[in-house]
Amino acid sequence: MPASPESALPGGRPLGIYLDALWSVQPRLTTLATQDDRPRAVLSRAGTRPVLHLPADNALLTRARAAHAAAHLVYGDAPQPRAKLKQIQRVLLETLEDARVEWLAMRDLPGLRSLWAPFHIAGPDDGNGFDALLVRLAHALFDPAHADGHAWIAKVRRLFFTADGTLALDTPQRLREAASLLGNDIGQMRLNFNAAGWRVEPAYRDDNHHLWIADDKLPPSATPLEREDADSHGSGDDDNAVTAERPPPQATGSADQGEGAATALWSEAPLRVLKYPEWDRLITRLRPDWCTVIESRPLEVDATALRARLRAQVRRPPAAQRRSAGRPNSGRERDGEVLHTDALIEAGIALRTRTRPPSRLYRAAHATDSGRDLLLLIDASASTAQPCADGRPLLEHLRDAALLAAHALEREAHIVRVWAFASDTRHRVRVQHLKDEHDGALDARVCARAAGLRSHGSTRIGAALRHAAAHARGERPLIVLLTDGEPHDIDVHDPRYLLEDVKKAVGEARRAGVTVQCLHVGPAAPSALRHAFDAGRCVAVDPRHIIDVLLSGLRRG
Amino acid sequence: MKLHDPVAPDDALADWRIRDEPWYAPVGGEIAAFEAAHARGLPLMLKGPTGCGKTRFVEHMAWRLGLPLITVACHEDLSAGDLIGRFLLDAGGTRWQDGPLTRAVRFGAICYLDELVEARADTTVLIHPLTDARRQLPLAATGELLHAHPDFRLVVSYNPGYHGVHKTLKASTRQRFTALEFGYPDPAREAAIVMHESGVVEVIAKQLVTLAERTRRLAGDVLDEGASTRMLIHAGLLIAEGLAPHAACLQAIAVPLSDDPEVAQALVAMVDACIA
Repeated sequence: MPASPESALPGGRPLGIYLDALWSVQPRLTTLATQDDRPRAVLSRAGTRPVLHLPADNALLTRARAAHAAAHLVYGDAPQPRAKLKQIQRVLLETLEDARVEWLAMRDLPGLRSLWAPFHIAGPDDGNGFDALLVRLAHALFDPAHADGHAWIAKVRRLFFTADGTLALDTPQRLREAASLLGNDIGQMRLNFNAAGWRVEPAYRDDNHHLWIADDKLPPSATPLEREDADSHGSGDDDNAVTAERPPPQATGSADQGEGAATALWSEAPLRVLKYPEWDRLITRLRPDWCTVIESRPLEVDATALRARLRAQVRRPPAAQRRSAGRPNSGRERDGEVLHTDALIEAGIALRTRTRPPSRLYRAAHATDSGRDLLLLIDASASTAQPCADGRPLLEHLRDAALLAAHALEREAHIVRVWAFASDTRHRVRVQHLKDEHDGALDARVCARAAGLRSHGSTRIGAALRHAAAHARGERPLIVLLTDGEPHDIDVHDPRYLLEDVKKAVGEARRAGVTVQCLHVGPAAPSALRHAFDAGRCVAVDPRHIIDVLLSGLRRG
Repeated sequence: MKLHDPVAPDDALADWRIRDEPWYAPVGGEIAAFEAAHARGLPLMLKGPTGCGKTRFVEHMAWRLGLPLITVACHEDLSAGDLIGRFLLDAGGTRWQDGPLTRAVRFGAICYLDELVEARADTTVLIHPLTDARRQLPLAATGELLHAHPDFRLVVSYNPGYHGVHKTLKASTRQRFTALEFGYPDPAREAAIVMHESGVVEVIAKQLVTLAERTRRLAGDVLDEGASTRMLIHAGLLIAEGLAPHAACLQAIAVPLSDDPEVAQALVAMVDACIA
């Protein structure tokens, strides 16, 4: 999938998890760059995926803002036309709507009250101007126990709540009527409203522009937002979102222009060119010889630093394992299935001579799971250029983890290969060999190739898997796919097409005796991709833990 | 169904008999399903996420049927010897010691292999001859061919969720079992279970269930599994002991669920939101 040109909100992952878990909403979180000394969050619901622009602030205020925005997303209604509502009435409607969605959110999640309550501090001391009344109203509607004493605020409360404390204004129409009515009250009270200096209060509430249908005649907002275009590392939970969020940049016929148009990045000399079929879900058939896989090796670049770093990271075997080798007790355990003959003889002698018998009487169980044929297949598409939390691109994490895992697994007598793949239409699915079975994982040449690996192109997983499965050999072959996204290519517009092809490719591999697993690395959930793999064979992994998951899983078999 | 026999003094399985009824709130037809499998001597697999009540159900059924229950928690180093038995050495020479499975087969008990998939593959195949019409357990070490006691039953549990990419049950094992699917109870029933088991009031129980339900949305992505009913009961017990609900949820739910600092941060915020 294509890389996103935007950077997400720093520290946004916990907040994203929080919103997803509590409300099943996945807005894109970005930092709001603003000079405003009283900035407010901006929620945009214009695209297929909401975007929440958050001013840089402390964690609690940021969380309060995010929770409030989520309440809008979950309990809010469609944007309304501004028509005929005066500015005062609109601000009143916004205040009522803020209170309404928060009331509903707190009904479901009572702990939210203590998140928002510290921001509601307005009371009679703030004065009786319209601005002050609005803030006092917000407080009074937020906290029914709060005593304000102003007659108009008491009136709004009576309108807003029923006698038994539930919401009276429960439809957009009722809310609008109430705002209209209350606006007239303000007019009769001869209160002025300075719209230019007005900011929604309290500070955690967003600017509410999303409540209104966009009006092109209005002057542009003073708050500079970053580009609100579609996001490419979206969760892709529903098919429509996938389609809309990934406008193929070359979606017209020019993308499908055959094998002649090689770009500079495809200049490595091909080792072999092979054709593979692809599943077309619409005709429910394999299209024969549909995808062209080009095998190559990445250009070798200087990898002194990479090699030194990888060698420094090579894990030493656990101390217990090191100690046991070459000791008299080696091969013996306290517990086991088969008695150790020498140990028994020693024990028998010890019993007869009334000395202390050895405690390890059993033969140690040996790891029998060795000699497997393992292929680590790295997704090297453009999206893997995105930096991870530590600032390094994801591709580097994938590459390093694959090489370190290969190194460790080779020491356990497995046969390990490391390949990378990326695609640029069905005519060019590039599979690069970083390490083949006769290379050592940390050899200078392997590291030089690994260092030359670049993020580029798209993610045609099915073709790469078929190629990998066709070259599986040896004992219980296993392909482990390391990817950050879902299948995607610029000549495919149907988001389900490549997913179904992956599923078919996995099934074909399974029937050929090849197990395929997927480690999904990165911010988005592998929701759709998971269904393409056999149950439990696609797991989400944090970039820092790739190596542990690879090793622990493979060792357990 | 067997009545609750008084325990004979020479009962080899006395320690494994359940005297008091383990409390269990049925969610569907699982009691009838278990009894039918029992009546026909069919092995049973209980599938479902951790902490949703599988083990409690087996205990309850063992009590109901008046059978001793021998439970083995399977793990990746569980060897054949651990299940079947092994020779031990004492002053006089070697002595055979029955393992838990052998004991259940010899004297007639429900053998419950908890999380069977965690056991090594070579261990799992041991149960194969016990699960078909043969109902035999060959003891290679002693040369004995053990015919299962009429009361012997095999029950295994299996959590398909979190074993990740590397573990599933082999078809040859899987197809020997009849299976019951377990899930978390619906919110009202789960709250009732938490109230019964921990003694917290309904308001608190409902908040705990809300929190659990929200964490379960993260299962498979950032969490292996969401908070289990067992975790909620633990939180409830801490609250009943006098701990503040918020602190209890951190201790019993948020902190145990994840080691990832970012996920932990999100979980703490979720506790804040769900617990008043």
